[in-house]
Amino acid sequence: MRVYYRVLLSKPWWASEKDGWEIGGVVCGTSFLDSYPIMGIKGLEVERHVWNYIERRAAELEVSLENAEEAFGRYADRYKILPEIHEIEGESFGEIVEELYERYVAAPAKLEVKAMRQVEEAELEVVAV
Amino acid sequence: MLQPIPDLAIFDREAITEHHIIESDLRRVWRYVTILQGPRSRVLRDIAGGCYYGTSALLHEVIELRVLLEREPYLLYQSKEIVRRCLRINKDAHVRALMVEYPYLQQKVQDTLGEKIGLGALVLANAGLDDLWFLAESELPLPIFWPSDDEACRAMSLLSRLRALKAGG
Repeated sequence: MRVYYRVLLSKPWWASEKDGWEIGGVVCGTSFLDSYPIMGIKGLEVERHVWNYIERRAAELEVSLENAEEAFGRYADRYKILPEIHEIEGESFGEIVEELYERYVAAPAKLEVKAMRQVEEAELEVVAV
Repeated sequence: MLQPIPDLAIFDREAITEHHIIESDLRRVWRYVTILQGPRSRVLRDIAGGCYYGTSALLHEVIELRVLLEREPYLLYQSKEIVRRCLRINKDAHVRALMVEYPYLQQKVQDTLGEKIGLGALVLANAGLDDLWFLAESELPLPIFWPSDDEACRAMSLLSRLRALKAGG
């Protein structure tokens, strides 16, 4: 199975003007699902009513992956998607969802946690000296 | 307006007892959601509504947080960035919470509104497509089926009715 997707950028509602956009996950084209043209695979801290609104609006407006940003509506200041369309293959859609979650949501978080721990350990060493 | 922490008495006593939820669980959940989504989070408002819908939202957060605290005991003393990252890399905590939340919601819809509705329709109406996939792909034996458009609309209507019920009502 082959799925096309675009990278989702997000900004939490508490972010200030100077805070940049961060990778929030991906938006997949799901034209093979009746009534649901796109699906977000995103960090679980995203408020579910927000994404529920976006997915329902996508269905109402019948957007496709190419113009998925039109579904963002009143949350367009908090989400945007990069223009490039990527593709991924897998045995099943479930397998692809897992892979995309790991690649775009969990893996960046793991790297950040690792970096943060290194900083904390370095600070502890300074204190110990 | 900031959402004050409600009293445990506004929730479904049976579910609170079954899951051994006490005041400190509620306080921890409040802190967790506030760190994650801010003090005006819709989740806090849902929980503060009490009754069955509020209980379902509370169950979700309690279960999720218990799993996270087992792995990161000092999580609630960390910054929002760390809490968010912790949740991202421990997605199974969220899935376990869904597995408690939705069968509960399904049962309450049946008991109080006299309507049967599929778990898939409830998840789609209340959360989103990816939650439905995560549940469908999980190894636990829950009967998750892809809902029709009509069933998804019916689930939205039932959830609105359930949400409108008030504690003690």
